[in-house]
Amino acid sequence: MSYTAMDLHAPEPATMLEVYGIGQDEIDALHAWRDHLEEGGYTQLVDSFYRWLREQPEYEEFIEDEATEQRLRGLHERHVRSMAAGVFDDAYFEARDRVGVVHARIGLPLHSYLGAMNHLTMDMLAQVPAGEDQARILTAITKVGHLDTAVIALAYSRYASERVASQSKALLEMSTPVTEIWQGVLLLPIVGIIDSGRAQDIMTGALTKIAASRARVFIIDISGVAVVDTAVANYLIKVTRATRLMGCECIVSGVSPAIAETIVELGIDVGTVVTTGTLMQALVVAFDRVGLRVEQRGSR
Amino acid sequence: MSLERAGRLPMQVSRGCIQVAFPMEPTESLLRQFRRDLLEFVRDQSADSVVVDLSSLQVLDQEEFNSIRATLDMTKLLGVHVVITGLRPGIVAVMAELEMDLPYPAGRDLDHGFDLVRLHREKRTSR
Repeated sequence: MSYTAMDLHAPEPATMLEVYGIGQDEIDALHAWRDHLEEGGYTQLVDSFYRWLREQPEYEEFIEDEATEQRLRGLHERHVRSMAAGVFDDAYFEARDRVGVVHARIGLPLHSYLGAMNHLTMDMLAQVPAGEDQARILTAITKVGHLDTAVIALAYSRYASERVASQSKALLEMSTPVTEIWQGVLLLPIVGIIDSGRAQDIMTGALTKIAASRARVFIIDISGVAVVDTAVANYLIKVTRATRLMGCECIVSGVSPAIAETIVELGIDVGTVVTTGTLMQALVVAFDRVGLRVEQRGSR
Repeated sequence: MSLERAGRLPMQVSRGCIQVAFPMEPTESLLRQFRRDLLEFVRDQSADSVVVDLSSLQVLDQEEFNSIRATLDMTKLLGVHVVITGLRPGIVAVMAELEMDLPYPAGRDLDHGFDLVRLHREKRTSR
C-alpha cells in the first residue's frame, strides 16, 4: 500500500478488495444471494430500514418530508442492489465516497451513519436463506459491510480535514490584510506574534499586492506586535528590502518606546528604513512621497 | 508652547519641535531617566522633530557617549527628525580623536538647531 497518512482518499479498489478479503468466492456468494433477493427481498430490506430509521432522533432532523424519504428509499435500494451485484469497480467506490461526503456535509454524526450501516448489515444477514451457501453468503455480506464502512469513514475524515485546511487558509489570509488606503499607499497592520511562517505570508502577501496595485508606499504598522526581537526585526528589514526592489518604499509605523529601545539595544541596524511612532506620522510621510498634502481648509 | 509634566526632566515642545537639554552631571540613573522621559515625550506629543541641547556636557566617557548615541537612535526610530546642538569644542575634539560619531545634523547653538529643523521641513514639503 503506497499512501501516506495525509492521503485520505480510499486506496485503489483492488487494494481495498484485497485488504477486506473479497475475491471471486465472495462475489459468487453475493450473486447467489442476489438471486434470492429478487423475490421481494429488496423491498423488505428498505421497508425494514426505514421502519427503524423513523424511530431514530436523526430522522426528524435530517429527513424533511415524504418526498425526501421516497427519494432516499430509491437510493437505498440501489445501494443494496449494487452490493449484491458484486461489481466493486471505481464507480462503486466513487458512489460510496460521494454518499459519505454528502452525509458528512449535512452534519450527520459518523456514529449515526455507522449505526445505520450496522442495522442494514444485520437486516441483510437476516435475508440470507438457509442452505449449503448460507455460511459463504454471511461471510461475503459481512466483508462488504465492513468495506463500505471503511470507505465511509475515510470520506468523513477527508471531509473534516479538508474543512480544517480551508479554514486555516482563510485564517491565514485574514491575518495579513494588506489594504490600499490611498491610491499608491498600502497598509498592513500586524497584530500578535510574527514567526517565520507568518513573516513569509506577510512577504508574499505584501509583494503580490504591491505588484497588483503598483503602490509607491507600503506601511507596516507594528503597534499590535507583542514582541520585537532580532528575528522579527530582521523579517521586517527583509520585507522593506524586498519592497524597495519593487520600487515601493516601506515605512514601519507603530514603533513604541519599548520597541525602539529593544532595537537599539540589540544593535540591530535598521539602515535606511523609515520608522515612525504613530500611524499618523507614517501617513504624513506616505502622502509626502506620493506628492499629496493634507491641509486644514482655510476659513472663508 | 506646553510645559513638561511633573517629575520629568525639562522638555518643551514648540511648533511641533521638542526641545530638550541634556542633564548636567549625568549619572547612570539620570541617563536612564533622560532616555525614558524623552521617548515617552516623543510618543505623547505630535512633534516631528527633536532638538537635543548637549551644551551641558563637560566631559564625555565612552559609556556616556554610548548612552547618548543609543537614546538618539531610539528617538529617531520613533519617526522624528533629530538635531543636536551646543557640543563644546573640547568634547568634539575628543569625539573626533576617538572616532565617535553622532550621525545627526548639528547646530552651533539653539538658534542654528531650529534653523536646521526648519530647513529639513522645507526640504520635505518642497519635494
